[in-house]
Amino acid sequence: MRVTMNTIATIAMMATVAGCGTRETPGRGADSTTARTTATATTAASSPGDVALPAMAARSAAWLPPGADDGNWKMPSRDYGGTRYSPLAEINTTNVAQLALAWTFDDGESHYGHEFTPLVANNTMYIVSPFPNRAFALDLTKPGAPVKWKYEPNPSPIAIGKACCDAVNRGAALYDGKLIYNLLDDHTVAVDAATGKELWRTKMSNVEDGTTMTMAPLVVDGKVYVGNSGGEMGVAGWLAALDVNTGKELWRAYSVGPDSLVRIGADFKPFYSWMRGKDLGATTWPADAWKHGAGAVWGWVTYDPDLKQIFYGTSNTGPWNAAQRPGLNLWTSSVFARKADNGMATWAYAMTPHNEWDYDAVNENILVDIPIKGQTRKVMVQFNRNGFAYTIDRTTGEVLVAKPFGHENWASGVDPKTAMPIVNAEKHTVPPGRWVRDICPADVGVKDFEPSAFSPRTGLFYVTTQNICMDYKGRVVSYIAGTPYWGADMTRHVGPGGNYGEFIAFDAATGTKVWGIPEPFLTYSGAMATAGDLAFYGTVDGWFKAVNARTGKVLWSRKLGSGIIAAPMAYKGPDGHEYIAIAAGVGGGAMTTSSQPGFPARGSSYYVFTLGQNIPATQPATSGGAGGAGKKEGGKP
Amino acid sequence: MTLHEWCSGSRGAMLRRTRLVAACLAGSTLVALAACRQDTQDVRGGAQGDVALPQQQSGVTRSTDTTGLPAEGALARVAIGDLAGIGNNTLDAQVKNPYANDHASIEAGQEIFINMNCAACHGYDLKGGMGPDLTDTYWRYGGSPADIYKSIFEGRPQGMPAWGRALPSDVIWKVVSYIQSQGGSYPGHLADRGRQGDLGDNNRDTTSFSTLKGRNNVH
Amino acid sequence: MCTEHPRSVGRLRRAVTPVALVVALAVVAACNGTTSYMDATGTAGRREATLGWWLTAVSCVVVVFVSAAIILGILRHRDDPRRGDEGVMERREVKSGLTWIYAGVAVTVAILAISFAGTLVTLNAASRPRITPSLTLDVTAHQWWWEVTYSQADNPSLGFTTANEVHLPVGEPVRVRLHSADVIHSFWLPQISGKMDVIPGQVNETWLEARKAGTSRGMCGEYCGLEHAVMALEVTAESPEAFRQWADARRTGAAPSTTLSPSASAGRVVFARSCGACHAVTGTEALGRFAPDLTHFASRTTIGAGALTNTSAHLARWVRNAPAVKEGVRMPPIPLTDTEMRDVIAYIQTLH
Repeated sequence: MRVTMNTIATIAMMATVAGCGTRETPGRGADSTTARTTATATTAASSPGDVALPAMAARSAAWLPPGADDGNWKMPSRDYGGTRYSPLAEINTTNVAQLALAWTFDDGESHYGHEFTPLVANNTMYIVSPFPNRAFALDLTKPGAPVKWKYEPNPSPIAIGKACCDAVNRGAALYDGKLIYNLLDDHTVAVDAATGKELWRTKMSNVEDGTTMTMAPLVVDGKVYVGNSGGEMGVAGWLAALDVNTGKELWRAYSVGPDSLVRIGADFKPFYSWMRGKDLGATTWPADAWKHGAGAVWGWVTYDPDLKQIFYGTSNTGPWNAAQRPGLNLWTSSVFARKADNGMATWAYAMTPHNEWDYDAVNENILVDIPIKGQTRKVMVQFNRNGFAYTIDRTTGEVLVAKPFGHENWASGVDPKTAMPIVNAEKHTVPPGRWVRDICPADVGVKDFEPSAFSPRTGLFYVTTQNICMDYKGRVVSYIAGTPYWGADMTRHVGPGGNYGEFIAFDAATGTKVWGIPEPFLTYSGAMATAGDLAFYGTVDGWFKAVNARTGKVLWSRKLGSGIIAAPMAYKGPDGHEYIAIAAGVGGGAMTTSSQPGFPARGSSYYVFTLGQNIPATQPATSGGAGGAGKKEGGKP
Repeated sequence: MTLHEWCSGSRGAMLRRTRLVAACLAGSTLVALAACRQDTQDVRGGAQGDVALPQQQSGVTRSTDTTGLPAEGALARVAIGDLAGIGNNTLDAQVKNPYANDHASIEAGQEIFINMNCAACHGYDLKGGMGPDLTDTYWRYGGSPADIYKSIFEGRPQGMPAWGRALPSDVIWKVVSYIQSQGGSYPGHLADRGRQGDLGDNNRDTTSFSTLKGRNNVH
Repeated sequence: MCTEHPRSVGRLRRAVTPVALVVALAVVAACNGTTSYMDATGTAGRREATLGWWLTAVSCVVVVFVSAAIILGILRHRDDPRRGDEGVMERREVKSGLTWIYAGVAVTVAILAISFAGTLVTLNAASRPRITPSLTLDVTAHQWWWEVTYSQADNPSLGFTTANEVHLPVGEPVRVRLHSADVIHSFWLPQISGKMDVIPGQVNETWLEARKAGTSRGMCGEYCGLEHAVMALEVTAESPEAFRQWADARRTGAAPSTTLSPSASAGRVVFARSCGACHAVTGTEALGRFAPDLTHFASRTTIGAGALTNTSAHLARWVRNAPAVKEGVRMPPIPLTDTEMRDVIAYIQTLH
């Protein structure tokens, strides 16, 4: 009897200990205590003893830009794979409720939406405003992060009237001492990160024809990869590579046209037979229609340093009225894998061939190695506008999983053999001239450009999704250069449930949602995941939230000055503490719901948060002007 | 008179009656034809010849206006601002739209507004989007019909294309008629007050970019 | 009418003769030339024409026979002594005329039966082509012109658009889908096939097959507004080889500007600027879709769907003031200087 009691007690104690072990405590194992008490953040890509969720092994340094460390953030997604994952864990599930505002910065451009994620390197924060695309360097070593230098590129105002979806800028890249980004008026610029002087400016296109540039360049291996916007303006989409030192254009790969323009050659091996053939970028269109067929490259580019390939998607097809362009309309609404050095395509996949609903494919392709059906696969995951989350083998282009990640009713699924969507007959928008009601999602999709994040600790993707539908009527449209090449009359309305947004955790290996947080307003911000097992996102009415990445419980939230349509980032300050930065300035595609009661006003501020205990009550006075007296302000060229 | 009676009687009488009927028929046919041509004619405005605004020309600009403005070029007649408070730069605002309030012109203007892709930037309900709202009282470059005509003709710095070479002047006037019919512009005699912000909000829905169903575009 | 006077019959004959001559001339005029459906050569049209001729012949025979019978009847009994004193015909025994009735009924029934059978055969032949067409024509009727788009379902890059002209390969049926941009029209190529209404809000389908090479004129067969009569289609039936050559040429855009004379080159700029918002010339920046496609305008024989013949002088007149030529047309007068007019016409005339 006594022995049994002892045994029971022992078992009970072990169970309790084991139970303790499974509670959400970051950095478990040898360094669990140090993670909580010291300022040194730990990198915990995966820890032994984690619950049995798919996780990803730590990656080599080649997956990060040169000079990257745990505490800086040199490109919008922090790493070339696009994970938006910070290895900092000082702020974690146990203490995030103490997050408080450290300082703010306003870039003065509240006219337009703020979609920029700040960059931090060398104790300097870099911010690019919406049009007129001023760049600011903030000195993080000084209290209040004063402006160190300002760069005024003076882009052409014509660009304002050609940008379909607000005069925004989605990001910059820090590389080799240069800050590199795009101006709205089709110039790519490189600015000396230390002084703010312009190093080079390259004109990429002609803004009067309707082309603009809003995307964040990807810079790797001495090359700058940039693409155009203008899917609604009848442009021909392209991705170009520039030399990072001179800005000289090395090559340009179009998204439409014959193989010679699209840079398709012997290396091209698409997985599916309907994408094999000569000059499909021209022959899947009526004569010459591809010249204004769009396929603009206005989204995110990611890079695999082992394969040495870049991955990106192309926009919707022009015009929206599909009756004017019978055929599969390749290579719009598609993803490309290209060799990073010469741009020759290795494979491609069209998610929405003969696109009738403006479902672009420019969303981020996050490159992860996760187990699928027991076998670790090198995949890319895209949460597409059309409502399907695609897990694609990034070495071959085979679609492994394609399941909806939000409410959609335009297609009943993706055919497993051909990977073509199975369109519901009543959701076709052709023939034009009649209202087609309640197509879900609306053109802005279940997810627009706002980038999702991946946590290698949980193996889950954190996605801000949209629950919005449209009534659509197609029309005949003429191409008139500099005007929209559209052909659609449209209204939007909320989807079932009445919540415009939902922040979800998604398992891309099985195509299932793990948890979701419905929001009354759109969730249009994108996300960040951290080693503190936190996921961060913002809502269009201005709430910035931190949630438990495993359970989805909201642990902290704060209302900011305006709606949030940019992704947050995390950095380690000069004091060694972790800071979280986010922009709040509503605009962009979220303005399509601006008549929603309670919709905020525009804004232009960046908010930086840290643990309250690390914020001094007062700051020592600074001497003179920021950056020293006598120094000329900014780098006006 | 029956056929029997027509046929009876003298030959001469019968011939006279037949000629009379033929003449009546011919006459009424001519009248009908003339009337047909009349009511399908395109409405042509009266004051077109003396509109003192940029006409579609190439090379030398010739002034055919009678408002006493300088002969050298349309640019001199731009009058958005005021010079040191010395007022009455409302000359352009006095120029009337020859097609205002004409229903056929408004309908034609709406069709052009859609076909030339104006609706794609300014909204099918003119509430704005890529381009500004055309139904409110805020006009950056002036909102009198003549000011709107010039904005369309010349284009504007933030991406408004210049249509003066693509569209003849009466086509542009019809588009202006359509915009006027949607309530945005202010008439010439209110141009001063419009420029000085005195016209206030006309209580319209000002959430220009929203496309939520039921807001302004019930269908 | 007026036959109670003895001499009026002669007068009647004299009055009727010139009228009959005029009518006959009119009929002959209508029968000849490019719009006569009685002369149709297309598969469906030929059968319908045959039926038409048969019915016309039968009707003529019947009219002649009945007229003869009436006239004979009148003449034979004019001075019949059997009239009584009051001038009223007396009743009398008539020999049995039942055989005439039986014969008449039999003949009528036989003719009706043949006509009915013939109609059924014609309807059957006209209802669908003998093989599934690979070529599709999407014809959109506007006030007052025709937009014609060729397409092939299995190969979208073979599609192209033109205006106011239809080419058909002889011996190959073609599917036609009819759309209206505004009001009810009717698509009619009299020498190829019968009419099919074009109704806004729905797509009517028909088919065409030409059997004999040649040109003819198509038209709108349903009153659609002021210029309903000036809405002609140039119809060319040609061998399949010649058709493919024509289609390939149509698919190609306009020649590059380096091949143009200085005047035409300047005209190209004028065109893109002043015409391109409404008219399209493939291969240039002029890509408007609300007016006829002009990529190969120089090969057309008329301007304005039949309003004027295609010459430089007429083109200048049209561009300067189209509503004065074809009242109600949507194209406004285009103000161009003389130089610009000369240049743009030189350019348009290069668009073969």
